[in-house]
Amino acid sequence: MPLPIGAPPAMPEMGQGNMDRFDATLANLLARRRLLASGAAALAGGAIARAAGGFSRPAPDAGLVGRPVSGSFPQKGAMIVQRNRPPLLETPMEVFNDNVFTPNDRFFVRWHWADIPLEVDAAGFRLTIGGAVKRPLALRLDELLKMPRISYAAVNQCSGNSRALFDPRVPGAQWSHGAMGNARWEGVALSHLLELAGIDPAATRVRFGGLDKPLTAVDPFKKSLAVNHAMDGEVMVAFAMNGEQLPMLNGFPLRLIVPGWFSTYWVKSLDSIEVLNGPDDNYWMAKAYQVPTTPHANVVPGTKEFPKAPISIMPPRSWITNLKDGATLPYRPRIGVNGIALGGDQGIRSVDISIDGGKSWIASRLGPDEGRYSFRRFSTVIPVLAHGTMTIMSRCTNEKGEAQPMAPNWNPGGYMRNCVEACTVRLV
Amino acid sequence: MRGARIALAALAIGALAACSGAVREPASDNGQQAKFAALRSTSIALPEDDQTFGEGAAVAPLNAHCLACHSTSMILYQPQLSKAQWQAIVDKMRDAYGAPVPADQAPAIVDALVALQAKHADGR
Ligand code: HEC
Repeated sequence: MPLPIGAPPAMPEMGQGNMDRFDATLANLLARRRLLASGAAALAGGAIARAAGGFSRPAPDAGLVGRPVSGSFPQKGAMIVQRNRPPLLETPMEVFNDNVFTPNDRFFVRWHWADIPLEVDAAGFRLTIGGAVKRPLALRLDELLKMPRISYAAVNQCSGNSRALFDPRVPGAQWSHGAMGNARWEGVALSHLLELAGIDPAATRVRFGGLDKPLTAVDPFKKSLAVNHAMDGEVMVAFAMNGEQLPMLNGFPLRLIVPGWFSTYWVKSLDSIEVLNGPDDNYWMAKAYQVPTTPHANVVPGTKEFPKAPISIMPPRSWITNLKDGATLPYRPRIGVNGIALGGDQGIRSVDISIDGGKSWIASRLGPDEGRYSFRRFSTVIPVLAHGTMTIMSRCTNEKGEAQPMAPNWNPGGYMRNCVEACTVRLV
Repeated sequence: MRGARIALAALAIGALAACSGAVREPASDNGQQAKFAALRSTSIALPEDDQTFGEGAAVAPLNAHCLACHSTSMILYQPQLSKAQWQAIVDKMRDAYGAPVPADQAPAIVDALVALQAKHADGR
């Protein structure tokens, strides 16, 4: 059997050849073989024989540049590869300049455990609802599709989005700003499903699990929400994303949508809903994804001990998308600035622009409102006072009056960055 | 056609005609009617990832213990970390994620991680 040994290692640019060399069936076999090798040999402490080659050779850390961009992942276009296995794929910033919605094939990908679902049989799949309920359920997909639907636009953003910008830097996936995306989700309200199952009046939390599994005997990736939150009528079990079924790597066939909250709760390939009567002591709720309870989840760099809470609501953010930080442009007296903003769990009140390091701000024009949880475009035209370097900043204020702070935050997990971002361009 | 860009089996769920359920429309839904009526079985194949940290005794502990659950890039893309930080990561892999790291090999793994980063830092 021909193995892709010695295949050209790097794919530094999109749009080049070599995207075709992965025969689907062969790759699938290899993936299983690798998983077996990992599970049996490596986990038993044995050495793994691995061929050289592969498709996307990581270079050692080189700041924020130098990550390979690849179109080799199934159902995905050109993506920044942060990790091949399990995939961490980042959306290139220019995608956010094209549309307020992020196309499914450019939507970021993030998995924790090595054993991720590669195959789902739509007829055989069941979503189970159990635990502290009167009527445990095992729902088929066609049953879900016949239930009353809800639909809204919502931003899905990784807790660690922009982690690579932390200073001092912190370990973890070294995302730039592209671990986020905006889609129109469609599905069934979680409250509807919980009402069908009839939750115990003493229930405290609702926990969600998916088809991904650890290779070792530790807690699988599960997340939970307080019962009131789970019953708010907005949290959704989605089967469609931008009018299509979800890409496998984004959680086909079902994904939990928790609008306004960080992506860690948006459990992918959701197949189990469990109503709890007590606290959730699963590792991924009790130990992981914890942030300082201080404003902006900010602590003095290096601090290890502080009061913690599970990460939850997203704060407001904004990015200039039509200008590339560090770009050199021909001089013109006025320059258009536009980008995208996110209010968090609120709509957007304003996005203001500064060209004097935050001393003064001018209001931008907001684009169409696609709903409080969606990205919203902003645009304005600013004067260019002189030839040379110019730093442009955008600041989003949400309906609650919460504005992006100027100072970056720091915490050891690299979570919840939301400071004003600067875009510096040279006009010559 | 891109080899890996596939949705292999498209199992027909013919019986599912238009959805009967009423579409509830929150304010944010710009009146777009749901047309979504069926889900197709899907299978994907991921690009193979056979990368190692290279050959030789210096990286052997990493090849043996650090590739089962994630690719090399999980380690190679980390910022410069101190020995204590690498130690904490190896402890976390073992204690929180169940990585089979025998206690007597942990120091060799930490040393290998520190040396790997030092080597890359020099070569930059
Ligand atoms: C049993 C599975 C497993 C093994 C074996 C394993 N890791 Fe991990 N590792 C994980 C998981 C799970 C994560 C978190 C995954 C994620 O965030 O996507 C992780 C994350 C990391 C990170 C990112 C920092 C962090 O704290 O999340 C580093 C660095 C890392 N591993 C290094 C190592 C090294 C070095 C080894 C070899 C000693 C190793 N891993 C072996 C499961 C494993």
